[in-house]
Amino acid sequence: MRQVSLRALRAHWPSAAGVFLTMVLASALIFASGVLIESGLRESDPFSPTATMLPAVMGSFGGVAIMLALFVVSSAFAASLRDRRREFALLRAVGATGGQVRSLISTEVMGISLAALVVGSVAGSFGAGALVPLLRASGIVEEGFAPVVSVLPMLGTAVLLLPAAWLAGRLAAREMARLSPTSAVSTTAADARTLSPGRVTAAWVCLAGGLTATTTPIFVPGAMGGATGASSALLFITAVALAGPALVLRGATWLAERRMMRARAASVLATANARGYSRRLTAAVVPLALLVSLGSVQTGVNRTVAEAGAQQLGDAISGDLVWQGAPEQAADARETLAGLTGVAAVTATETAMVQVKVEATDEDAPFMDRLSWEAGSVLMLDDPSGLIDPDVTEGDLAALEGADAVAVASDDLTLTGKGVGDRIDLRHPDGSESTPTIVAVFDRGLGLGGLIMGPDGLDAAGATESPTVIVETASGEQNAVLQAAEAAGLALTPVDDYVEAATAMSSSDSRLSNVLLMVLLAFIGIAAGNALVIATRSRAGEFALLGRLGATRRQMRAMLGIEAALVAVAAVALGTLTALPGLVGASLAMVRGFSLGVDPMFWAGLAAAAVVIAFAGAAGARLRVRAD
Amino acid sequence: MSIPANVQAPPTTAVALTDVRKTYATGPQPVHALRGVSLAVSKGSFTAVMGPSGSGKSTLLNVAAGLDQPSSGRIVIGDTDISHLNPEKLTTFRRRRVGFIFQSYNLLPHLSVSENLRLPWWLDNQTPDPAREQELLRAVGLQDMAHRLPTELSGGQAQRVAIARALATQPDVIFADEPTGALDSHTGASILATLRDAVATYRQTLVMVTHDPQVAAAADEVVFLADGAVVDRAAGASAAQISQRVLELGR
Repeated sequence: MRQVSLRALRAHWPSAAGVFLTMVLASALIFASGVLIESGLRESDPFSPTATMLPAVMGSFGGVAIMLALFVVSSAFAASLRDRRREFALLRAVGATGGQVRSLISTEVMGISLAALVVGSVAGSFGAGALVPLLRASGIVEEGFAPVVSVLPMLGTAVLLLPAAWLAGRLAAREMARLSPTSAVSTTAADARTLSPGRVTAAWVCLAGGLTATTTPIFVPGAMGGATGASSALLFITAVALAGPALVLRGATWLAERRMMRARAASVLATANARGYSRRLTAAVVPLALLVSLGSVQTGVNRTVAEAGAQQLGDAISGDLVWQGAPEQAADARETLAGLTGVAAVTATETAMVQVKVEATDEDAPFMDRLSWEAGSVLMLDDPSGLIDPDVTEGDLAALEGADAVAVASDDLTLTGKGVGDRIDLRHPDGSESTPTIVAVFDRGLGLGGLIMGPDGLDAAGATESPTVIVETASGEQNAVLQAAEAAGLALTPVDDYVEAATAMSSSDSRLSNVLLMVLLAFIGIAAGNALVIATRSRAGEFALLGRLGATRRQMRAMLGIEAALVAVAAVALGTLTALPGLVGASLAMVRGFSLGVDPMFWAGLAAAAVVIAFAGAAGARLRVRAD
Repeated sequence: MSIPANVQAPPTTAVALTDVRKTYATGPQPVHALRGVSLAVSKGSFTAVMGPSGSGKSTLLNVAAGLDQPSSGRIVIGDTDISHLNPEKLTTFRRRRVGFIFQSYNLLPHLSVSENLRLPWWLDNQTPDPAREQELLRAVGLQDMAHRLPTELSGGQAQRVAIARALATQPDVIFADEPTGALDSHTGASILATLRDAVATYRQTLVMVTHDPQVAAAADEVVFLADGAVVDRAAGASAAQISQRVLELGR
């Protein structure tokens, strides 16, 4: 049987190479994320950006990359194996048992996967190195940072990807092994019209999961709810992928009944092909829909979070002018500003880096201890009842006046699983630890950060940064205060400008996230292109037959064009529809007023990419028409 | 006439079908492709199956060869009742004891002529016998083309490979479904001569669906099917008589 396997690989090398490439890219993405996460976790200084930000940034990237990789890898294997249905049926006809077909497929899938894993890991370690300058520029790692490559990320990649590949091969093999030997004898090769009950159930489960995730923000408001809502897009896309053939069949049947589509041979053929090869078309549509959906959701939710942060910060500050300067000037600035005529009230704030323990330490993996601490910042108020209103929902902010007290944002509480009266473990940059008691829970965590402490917090915190004095002026005195402050050598900015600047600061790493997003989108794009190439590769016989029946090349080109248009329209529509619920949910949960967060230009770019890939696939098929 | 179900097929019978029915329920109306076919084929004989299109010839062959499951009835090949074998056992049995030649040649496109020929051995985890392989290739006149791929063969040559493959495991019976249907008459005649010679040399039992009265006239027995049932059997009939009978059935 080994000979059969090897010959089959040789004969189907283009699709095997496509799957191999997809698997290499998937492994490289996951491996590179793993290397960078591990490097961050191994960093000796727990308060350096490498330790605090790198695991978080690469973790969220890696999470999306894993979901995409699982999706894309399994659909690539499924598509390339489906292409060879007839060959497997033929083997069944000449006496191969179902078990032999299954083992043939499994051997091939695992062979390709293992080879791709090794190549992908090498590529991934280079990829991680290539990201370093960008990470340094974004302030996520320090000068001199070099990724640590160990065997762990490779093991992780193997544990994640190999079972997915194995399962995809197994599912495809199950279908192939079930083929009746007579199906090889018959000349019909159209896709099966009905979906298996398991597949239908799985589609409904994913749909229900997506709807549940969409409604989460209603029950869990804030950033957590918003992020869960966004994950609905992936569940919806999976539901679409599972139910795809049935959806395509319905859509194509509806289209076929339209008079417009019945007027020309090309459109009749295109809709008939969509109907007859609903699985093939699904395989082409789904990765493109994923491209549109994921791109929209990722950028949309990020923008919604940023917008929510700005809104919360603006809402929290009841003053109208803000001073920012060096830490050593802060005390003087506060005193001077408080003494100016026309100033009604002042509040000084500082922030400090801190780590919050979110879960118990695992004794067996000491370096994994870093994972149980979440990096964050504490906002320190000299006057908890002053000009900053964090929107307390539980407890009392006045209790921050006492020692050892902390207020926690409701979003962060979901991480620690604690409430008012409980103690939380904090680690400070000077190496000290403290366990303050939670005295209040507040809602404006996106704007103010996860923790707030009173004046005593300053002593515990050690080094602080970004001292800020917020000034409330008496009615009509704003200009006078501005001038007086300037005369005293203190530059004040209006609150709106301050909020805008603070928001811009928080999105300073947007270049990095854009690059990372582009990497993911390029990955999906390549996978989608690969799926299209596989889908058209098997069509040489069909084109030859149409040619023999008298279809002109022009008609065939028109047919392919219409098919590409169907793929593109379906991908953009499904991608947008599956993204919308999560975006709406995130917006409802976090932002006042309604905003989808999606940049129309960016969405148009995604849609255009989907259209270009769809037509590029058709252009590949055109070459085939010409070759025949 | 039908053979009672509890009687074992006599040792001289290669294939015995007892009240075999096959119904397809895929459409709105069930299609009765076989309506109680009973048939016994003697060892070493050549049986031709004839009938108009849609009379159930191919279904009969697929079911008799174990490629397809009957809806009811009993099929015995040699001394094995295949109607109750589970799919894995049936496939293994078929691989070892049944040869099948399809109208489309059904060669794996990426395997060479000799590799296609070795497939039954490979599937059975046996080492192919090079001497046997050479002998079979000589028998079908392809000794010089062992390394060619199916795409480099003519239709007639491809069908010769399929014949050699069907003979490879020395099966109890070879089923052939219009093996010359896709070939011109000259090539077809030459293929049939090859098949008949090979069958005679190896004392094989052959059951062949054919539309050609000339071919059927060379058979030991001709079975006529119509509407999924055996309507007539003839031994030693001339091509003209067979032709006449088929025409009557088609009316």
